[in-house]
Formats: sequence, C-alpha cells, structure tokens
Amino acid sequence: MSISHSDTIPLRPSNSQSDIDEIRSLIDDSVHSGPAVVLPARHPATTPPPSSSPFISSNIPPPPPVSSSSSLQKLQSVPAAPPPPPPVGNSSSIVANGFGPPPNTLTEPVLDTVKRDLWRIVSNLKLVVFPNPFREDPGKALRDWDLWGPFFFIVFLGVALSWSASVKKSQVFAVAFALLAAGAVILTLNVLLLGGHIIFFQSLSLLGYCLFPLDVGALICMLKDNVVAKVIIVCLALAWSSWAAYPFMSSAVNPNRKALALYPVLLMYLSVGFLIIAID
Amino acid sequence: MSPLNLQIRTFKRFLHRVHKGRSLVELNLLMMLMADTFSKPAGGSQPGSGEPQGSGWFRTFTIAAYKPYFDVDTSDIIDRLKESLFPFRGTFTEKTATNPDLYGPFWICTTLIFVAASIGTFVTYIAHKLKKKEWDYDINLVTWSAGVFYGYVTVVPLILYVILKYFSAPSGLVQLFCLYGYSLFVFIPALCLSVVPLEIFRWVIAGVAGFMSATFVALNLKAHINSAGERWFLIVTGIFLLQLALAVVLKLYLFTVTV
Repeated sequence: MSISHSDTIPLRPSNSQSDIDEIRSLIDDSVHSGPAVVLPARHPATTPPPSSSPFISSNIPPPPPVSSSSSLQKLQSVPAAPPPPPPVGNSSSIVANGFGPPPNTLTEPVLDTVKRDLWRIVSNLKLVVFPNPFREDPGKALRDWDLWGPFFFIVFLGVALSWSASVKKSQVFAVAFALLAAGAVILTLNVLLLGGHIIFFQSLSLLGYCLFPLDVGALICMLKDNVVAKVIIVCLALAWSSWAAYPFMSSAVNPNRKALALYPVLLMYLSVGFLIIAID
Repeated sequence: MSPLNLQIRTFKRFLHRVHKGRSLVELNLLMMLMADTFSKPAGGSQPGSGEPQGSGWFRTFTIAAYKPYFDVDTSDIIDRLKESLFPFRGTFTEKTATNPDLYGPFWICTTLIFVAASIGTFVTYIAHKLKKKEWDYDINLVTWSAGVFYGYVTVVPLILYVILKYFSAPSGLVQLFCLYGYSLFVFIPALCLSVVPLEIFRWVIAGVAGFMSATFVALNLKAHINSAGERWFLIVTGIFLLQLALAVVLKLYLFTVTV
C-alpha cells in the first residue's frame, strides 16, 4: 500500500475487522522497520515468568525496576489484550508480560516459600488482632490478605474442641468446622446484602484471623478443667475477638445498619465460645 | 458511520503519519489511544454497564437479586420486633407489605438455634449435676434444632403460599417468610425463661409463647385472606394449631430430662 505524505487516505468501504488487521500490519511495519528503539520483550538473562496472574497485585511483591522497557512493554501488551483476532505470528514478540520479569517463585526452595507464608501470617495477625489504636484508618482491612492463616486457626479450633470432647469426637469437629467456615461466608454475604462494601475473600480472611483469641482460649481450656475458670477465659477471649472484628465490620456498612452487621458477628463468636465451654 | 469505524479511520490516518515519521513518541501515543478506545464501550455496540445483567435463571444466584430484601435499617428491624410481641394488633402485614425483609427471619432463626441449643444443654447439665451424675455434651441438639427451625420457616410458608394461591387469595412469598420469621421471635424470651426447673412453669411458658406466636400469625393472615371466602376459617385454624404444635415439640424435646 503506497504511503503518501498527505493526511488523507482514499476511503473505501470496509468493515472493522479488516481495519483492525490493517492497523496491526501497520504497527508491525513501524516496529520492525524502525530503528532499535523498541527493547526486546524480555531481558535475555531471565527465564519466562511462571503463570501467576499479574493482576492479583497484592500477593506479588513489586517487580524489580526495569526502567523504560517495562513501561513500553506495558503499553505494548495492552493492545494485544482486547479480544477478537488471534495474534499474528510476527507480532508475538510484542505480546509480553507488561510488568517486567517478576521474582521467580517457582524454583525457590520450599523452605523459603514456607517461611514467606508464615511471616505473612504473623504480620497479618499482628495487624488484625493487636490493632494499633493510633493507626490512620481503623477500618482499612488487610492489604495482603491470605487464607492460610484462617485455615490454620479454624482447623486448630476444631481439633482442640474435638480433643476435649469425650464422645462423638468426629461429629464435634465437623460441627465446629462447618459452623466456622459457613459462618464466615454467611457473615460476609450478610454485609454485602445490607449494601456494604467489602471484598469477599478479604472479609473471610479477616474473620478467620479474628478467631485467634478464641484459639488461645480453647487451648487454655483444654489444659484447665474448672468450669468457672473456663467461663472467665472464654468471656475474655470473646471480648478480644469481637473487639478485633468491630472496626472492620462497622466501617463496611452504612452507619444506620451498623448494628445489623455487627450482631451476627457477635452471635457467631458467642456460639463458638459456648461450644468451648460446653465441651469438656 | 458508527463511532467505532470513525475511530478506526482516525487511527489509520495517524498510523500512516507515524509509519512515515517512525517516532517513538508517536508510537507510544498511538498505543495509548488504541488501548483507550478498544477498552471503552463504543456507543451502543456493547451493553450498558449500569444495568444489571440477568439471563433468566442465573439471577437467582446473584447477590443483587436479593438485595431489595435486605433494605432495612436498624430502627426498622427493632420496630418490627416490637410489633411481633403484640399479637392482637394485626397490623404487621400492612407495615411490611411494601418492604418485606429477609434479614429478620434468617437471623431470628439462627439466634433461636443458638439459644435453644445452649439452654437445652444448660438444663440437662444442671439436672445431671444436681443428681451427681455423669454428663456428656450432646452435639445433636445443635443440628436437630437447626433442622427444625430452618425447616419450619422455609417449608410452612411455601405450603401456605401454594394453598393461598389455590384459594385465590394470593400473598407474596417473601411476605409470608417475613411473617413466619418474626412470629418465632417470641420464643427467644420464652426459652430463656424456661431455665427455671419447675415443670409446671415450663409448660405455662411454652403455652403462652405458643399462643402468642400462633395468634400473631393467624390475625395477620386473617386480615389478608378474609376475602378468600368460605375456607378462610379452616386455613387460619390450621396455621394456629401448627404453631402451637411447634411450641409443644420444642418444650418436649429440649426440656425433657431423663436422669
């Protein structure tokens, strides 16, 4: 197709599909015939990134700064994203990971992964259960939420209850686990239905972390056997859990409905506390 | 010419200039423009994003389908709870006709399950300890009471809905759920009071609570189905007896202590 200096192109009837193809071929021509101003898609030294989706940015630490090439790659990768035509073969070098080479977590030693996850659980725990009263936004939830911590806490509570039960141990574990897991999901749905603004899994994660005081209470109750002491310990643990969950839940909904969102949380922790006391 | 075509033509012109000039800056600009256009919905060529997408039966599984039934404030809920404690007024259905809520029924049932399980457990615990006997926690109380309460509030309004439709005095299904849910509220204080170990006292409490709850449902429904004609009396008495039966079953299962 002859390119003239003039701005106008002779108009001809065409549909958008052929337009898109033409634009794509023009891009290719520009890119490949131009001087080497476009850096290659990947730095030759790093291996191709594993499959982790770059859009769950909270769980991937920021990519190492690769200066201008990464921003260019970002731009280049976006036009490859919109649907219809499959990418033409010679333009595949443009389709790149637009965030630069991420850290390669697939080949690191297992101990590193485990240590990283454990460290994240600990730091999330500190954020949620020992909240700093002077932090800027008490309602701001975990940015780096994960579901490992809640899983451990729920399973631990189930195991502790099942251990202290004298009969029907497996049924006790099943009821405790179902109550906690389904309870977290229902509580989150409750807030969403009341018109609140939370992210589903973030809320599950937070409610799971708030179980930690009850875990501690259950552990102590397993060791001591006096009923009155159990009642006191469980009440303290309950108060602590509710205090940890309160700022998050209350800031997620309209102030007129705060009590409606908080009451179920209290109910769930109360029932768990009751299970802890009753099972001896 | 559609907006998309117009944009494409603009791009082509721009591209030819870029191709000629081979400038990096212009290439960047071009990419940004393209990205912007291809990601925005062009005029009417894509469905509007503000509208709730719904394809028939999928909608029952979205949260947005149930949001209208949770559109209540704390003060509304407290009003409705207070209303349910005065069964002889019969104004509940009018008040909730336009804004029936499912929050109340669901959480009243859940609270009832917890209260029933804990009070039942506590009663058997005290009875065993008084006679110095061995006591084990019976986890079946929780599962059993969950089945009874959730089942009652789900199944009975459904059957009633079908019956009312048959007698051409239709009532909305959600209104029926709402009515039955709130009618169970009076059992919460009743269960709490039943901790007292006197058998006669427990029967009196169960009777009073059952009567109040049944009257609540019956009177509110009567106002609605008076127009149904000859069979309304049958329906109303049926409902009344059913609610009383629930109260009796509760009393028997939770508070019959065999030590």
